[in-house]
Amino acid sequence: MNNTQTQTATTQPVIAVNHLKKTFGKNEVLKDINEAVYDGQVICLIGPSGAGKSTFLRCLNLLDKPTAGQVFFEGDELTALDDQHLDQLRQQMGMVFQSFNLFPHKSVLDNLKLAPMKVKDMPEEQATQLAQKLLSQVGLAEKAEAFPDNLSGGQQQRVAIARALAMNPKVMLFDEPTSALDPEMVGEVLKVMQDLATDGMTMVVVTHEMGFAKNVADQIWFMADGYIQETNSPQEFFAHPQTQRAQEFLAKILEA
Amino acid sequence: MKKLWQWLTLMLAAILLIGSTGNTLVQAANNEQPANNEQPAANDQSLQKIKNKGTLVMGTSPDFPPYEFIAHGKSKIVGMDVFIAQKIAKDIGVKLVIKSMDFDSLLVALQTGKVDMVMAGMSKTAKRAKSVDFSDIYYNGGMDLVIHQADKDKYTNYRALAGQAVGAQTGSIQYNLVKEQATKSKLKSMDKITDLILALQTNKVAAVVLDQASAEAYANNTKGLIAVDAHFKVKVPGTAIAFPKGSQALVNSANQSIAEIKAKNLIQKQYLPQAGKYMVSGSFKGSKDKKAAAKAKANNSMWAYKDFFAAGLGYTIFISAISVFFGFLLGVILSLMRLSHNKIASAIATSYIEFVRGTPLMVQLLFVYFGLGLVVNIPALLSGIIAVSLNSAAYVAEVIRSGINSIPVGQTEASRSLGMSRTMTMKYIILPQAMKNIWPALGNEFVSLIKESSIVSVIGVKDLIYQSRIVQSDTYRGVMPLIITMILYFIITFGISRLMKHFEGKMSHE
Repeated sequence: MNNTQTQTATTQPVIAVNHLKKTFGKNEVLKDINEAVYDGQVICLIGPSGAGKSTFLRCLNLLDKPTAGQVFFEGDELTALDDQHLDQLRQQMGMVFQSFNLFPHKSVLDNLKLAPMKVKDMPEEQATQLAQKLLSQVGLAEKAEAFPDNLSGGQQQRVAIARALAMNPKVMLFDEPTSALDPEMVGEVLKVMQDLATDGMTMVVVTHEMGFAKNVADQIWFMADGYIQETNSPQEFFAHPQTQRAQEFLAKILEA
Repeated sequence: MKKLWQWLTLMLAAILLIGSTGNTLVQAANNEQPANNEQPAANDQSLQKIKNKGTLVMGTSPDFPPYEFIAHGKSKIVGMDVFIAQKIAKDIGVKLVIKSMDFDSLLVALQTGKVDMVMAGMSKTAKRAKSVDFSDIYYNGGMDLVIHQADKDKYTNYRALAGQAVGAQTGSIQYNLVKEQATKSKLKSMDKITDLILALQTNKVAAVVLDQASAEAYANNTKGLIAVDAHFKVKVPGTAIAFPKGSQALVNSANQSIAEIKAKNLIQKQYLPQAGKYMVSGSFKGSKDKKAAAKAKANNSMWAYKDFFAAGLGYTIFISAISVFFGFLLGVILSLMRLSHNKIASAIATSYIEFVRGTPLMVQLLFVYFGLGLVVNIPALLSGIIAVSLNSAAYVAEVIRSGINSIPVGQTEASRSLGMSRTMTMKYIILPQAMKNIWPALGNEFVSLIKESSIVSVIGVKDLIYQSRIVQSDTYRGVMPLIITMILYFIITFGISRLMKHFEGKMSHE
């Protein structure tokens, strides 16, 4: 916020990673990743299971601490920050999880109000207004007083998106947001995400929804074996994948 | 494996630490030994200290009529020993203060300075004389057997009790006599004479060995029991006052008073009859007057002792309430320490929890009262509260830790991804959910704390158990006070579990 550096979309990426590595014990999940996300871009991260997509996403806001390499957010090196400053920058990176992770002991409205009130010291009235506006945006205004356990999966995920938006983030990270949903609920969540993209939100989405990737993404990052193997426009990627790894992956998907 | 090693090292360190404190205790006791023999009175400050203090603190175990007991229907300790002690205090020119505790704890209390002298119908033995200074003997009585009247012809001496169970007070001279001489009998020892008499009445033992004065007091006041000479071989050493080692000046002063008492025959003429007056009881054989007997019987009903039970209930609730509060507070801190990323804090909390859970509360209580008593003088009630709180904290910490661990990691991740700090996450997300999960387990812990707080009676805190024992020894009724005590405990614990249920219901409505 008090970043005084002059920014232009082309020179200053929102997120940049530099030689990012992550190992769990002896298991090398991310081997060497160098990428950048620019303002307003929608990135879809696709690839086979176990490729390290989720781990990569979680390294972007340091929920998982990288083993080596650097992560920059608007020029600030996250990997060099202490906890307190990290918390401040995390507010600006909203995250949506596969398993929703709503707070079950709080109503939908309180789920949205909690972080703005506690982290940003927003007055309660203002937080309530904000929460109600965001709930309308995801089509759940009438569920404000409900508890998460009484909502369907699709509704819970939309609340989770609204909760992340309540912190007014500059970028949204989606970790397989529709994978835990019943098929008939996938559409409502993708619709909310598509609206968000249309509004110009910068997004990094780990997904298996190829239709969404094709239609909404500005860029596809194909990930396998701990590397980003290929970055391309959706049209090019789905029509003419460059690497053999990507060709195999797409062939398997089309079989199914 | 590495963890195991760390553990063993930690445990060893803890044991060594405690061991070294223990050694100083023994050393302190030993160091005082050579000092007392024929020490010139000029160097001995013991008497002067008492005079400066203005009080003489007597430690006793008031379940030993006619030596010392609780006056019928009052909460006053009286008896032959008390009257003698009053005379000694008066002769020195100070006020007598009486501290009551278990017989077993008396000598430790004397060595750790909790009391200035011990008078508890205590026999003067060579073994005891190694650790304390005794006054001259002030009373001499043989050993008796208390038996059922029906066994009068059967058990004429201790040899007749071969193969039978014989009761004696734990740590008493009678206990050793039975152990050494009545080897063919099965020795059953208990802390309280009232329990022994109860065991006799319910045929758990065939006889109880007591000193003559006590035996007759109990036999005279309990229907169907009589006292007979036990005919033990050794001439029993008489009863004397125990003082800390190296307090010859104080002993000399007490001996002067005793000499005067003996010269005037005050014990037979004045103290014993006076003690007898306090021993009015419903089953008192000697009361010929029917009206008086009826009145006495009315006084012996449990209702007459409602103040005792009320006082005990008050103490039990007081100790429990404070211990629940501090136990919970400390438990939360310990659980957070154990889960923290700070390795030192985590190691401290883990060691504490494991150590406290691995040692009996009874020992912890005695350690706080007597062990820490060497450094700072902590009153019995406070010692009890400290020990119970510290003990409960370890259990509460484990309950809370299990509650925190039961919350899915996704909750923390969601909270942290919103920019909330570790502390905020704990406070607003994890703990509220954990509390809800562990509420029933926490309720169980509080209930068991209330029950376990009964252990404080060992160091003379006047809780429900302590009072029920007083009522037992006062009324010579063994079972009824126990029933009332059980009911009272049940009311508190049942009340607590209902209360916890109520809040549990409230939480799930939220």
